[in-house]
Amino acid sequence: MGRPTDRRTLVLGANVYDYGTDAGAWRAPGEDPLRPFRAEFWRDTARTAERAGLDAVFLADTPGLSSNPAIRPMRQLEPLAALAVVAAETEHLGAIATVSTSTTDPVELSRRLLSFGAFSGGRFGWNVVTGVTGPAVADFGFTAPPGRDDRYARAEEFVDAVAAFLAAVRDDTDYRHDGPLFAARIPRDRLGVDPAVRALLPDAAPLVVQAGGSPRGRALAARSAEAVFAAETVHAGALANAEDLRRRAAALGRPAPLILPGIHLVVGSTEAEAEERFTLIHERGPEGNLLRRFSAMFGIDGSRLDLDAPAEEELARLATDPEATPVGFRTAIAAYGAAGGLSVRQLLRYFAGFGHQLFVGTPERLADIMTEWLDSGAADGFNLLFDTNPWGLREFADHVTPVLRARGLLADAPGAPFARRMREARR
Amino acid sequence: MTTTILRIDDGELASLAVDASGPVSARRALGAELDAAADVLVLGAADGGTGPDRTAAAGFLLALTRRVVVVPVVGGQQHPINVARAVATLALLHDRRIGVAAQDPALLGVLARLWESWPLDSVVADVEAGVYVDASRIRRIVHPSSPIGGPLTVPVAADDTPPTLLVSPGRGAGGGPAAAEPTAADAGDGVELVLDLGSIPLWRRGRPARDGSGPARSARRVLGLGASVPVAEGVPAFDGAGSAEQV
Repeated sequence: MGRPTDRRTLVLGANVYDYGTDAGAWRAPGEDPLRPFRAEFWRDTARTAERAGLDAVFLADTPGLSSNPAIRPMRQLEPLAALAVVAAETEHLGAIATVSTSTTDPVELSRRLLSFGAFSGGRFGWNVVTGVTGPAVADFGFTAPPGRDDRYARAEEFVDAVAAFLAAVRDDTDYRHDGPLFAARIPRDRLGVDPAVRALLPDAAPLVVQAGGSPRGRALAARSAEAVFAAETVHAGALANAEDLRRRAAALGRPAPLILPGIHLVVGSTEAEAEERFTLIHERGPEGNLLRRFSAMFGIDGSRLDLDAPAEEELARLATDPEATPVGFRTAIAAYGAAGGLSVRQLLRYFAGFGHQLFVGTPERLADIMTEWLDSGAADGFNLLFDTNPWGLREFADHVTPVLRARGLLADAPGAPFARRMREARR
Repeated sequence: MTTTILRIDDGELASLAVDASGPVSARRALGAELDAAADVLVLGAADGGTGPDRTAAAGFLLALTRRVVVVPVVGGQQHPINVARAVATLALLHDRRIGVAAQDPALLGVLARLWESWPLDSVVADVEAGVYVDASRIRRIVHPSSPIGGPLTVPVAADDTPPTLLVSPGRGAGGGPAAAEPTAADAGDGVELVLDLGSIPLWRRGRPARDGSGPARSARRVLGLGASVPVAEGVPAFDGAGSAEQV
């Protein structure tokens, strides 16, 4: 059956997260426990993602070892280094790297991102985050973890400086940025970009992706992002947030960013099979890990939680407003508990997807959800988080992709390079 | 067997970026060409230059060729811990076929010490027992001359760390007066080889090629260096307290 020509198709990314999103991912049965350390893992991931009809591989990151890998190994590889293998192995697939504005310099990073955009043939995105945690705080010259307002003030000026630098390269003019943090002038002949690379603009400029869910993060997305990796668990809330972001972008005279909520998913040919598959990986996670992460995210004392009480009431009773934790995830998870009338225990299971939507079920039901979110405008696509890699991605390619294709939800073989394609897909 | 080292200058590196941006078949052909070019390829010059970012270029070229690449790093540009992490990741993914070069021995020392923050052989990866790593061996490096201590997010093989090369820009690199040649006296902690970049022949497309079929070998082996020996001091990074233990 052919796809109706006017049907809007899904934008899909795979947030590979090294081993996978579940804390038990590294122990997946039959898989090499050191697999992300090998280039072949990333080549296989790249080929599978392209075969699955996905638009991009996305890599989350924190700059520095922010948690003990003995508890859960994650976010280990430097994203640009790993994604170079992904881009080198593929024709159309995009690669989106997370890089924090708190640990880099805008001119240095601009050159690096532009270089990656050139080598990849315009198939590169930059996920702008602001965080820096753990021992890395001192390594990057901070005396204490920067607060949210400081991080966002820096990020806002940073993205302006990057845009100004890329514009100066494109137009072959002097770079000039005036601002409290990064004021600089560089004459055009010292921008440090070869004319052969300049000629690859604008496609070689990275697609700007943003993931913050706080009011300041959303404001940053409206004025600078081309895609948003959103944390949404409830359709009504997702739709309201999407409409709000589109209004804000329109008020600034910009096309709205593509809205791509995260979805942590495990599929099976029946609901029971999917549940069994979910448990297979999930039970390999460290004892009590979900409760500790949940407590840390809400800034509460886990031992005071009554697991059988309604989650909404417990969170209202105990939650503070911890400065260092992500607002978007907290809001998304609390909203899901409230919408479903869940107990703390039930919400904890759902929290296996961290702050993202958790889906355990059949490909057909997943396609139904994706269709509803796409057609209503709650999403332009999704950033997929598999419980374990490359297993979950392979299952998606084998079982979900055929269903999405049959329903006309995947674009035909792409022509334009990834970054241009995404820019043109904006509403 | 002699080791052939060639340097890819900034303009040529930019043209490689354009080639790499083509289809997979073009990238494979580029990889075969690089395999047949030399044992070691130095990317760009000792200063900033106009070429593509060297760590970005190294990521792509290592994915295409089986040869060793040496990445010149410039102090004051990319943060040392970001360089150390990127190079450690590339070493892990690509058979340890990467080395770094710099004009500043102190910078090389910082990088070399950071590569000792998480030894690869501490990773147990016992799936049945659920033990991933002996975290007591992950350390924050302590050194009187640098506040940067890590640990890095990726483990590095303690006996096969990326080689560190102290370089001078060399005569003819920029046409200016010759810089003082580095001597063995400049080599401090973390400096393993001294190299005059100006004396290294440039690689050009179409240059007569050698047999490119040899196996991938680590940068240390190709450069004739023995096993690396950890020397940095450090303190355990995870002491059982704090939120970093939780998640």
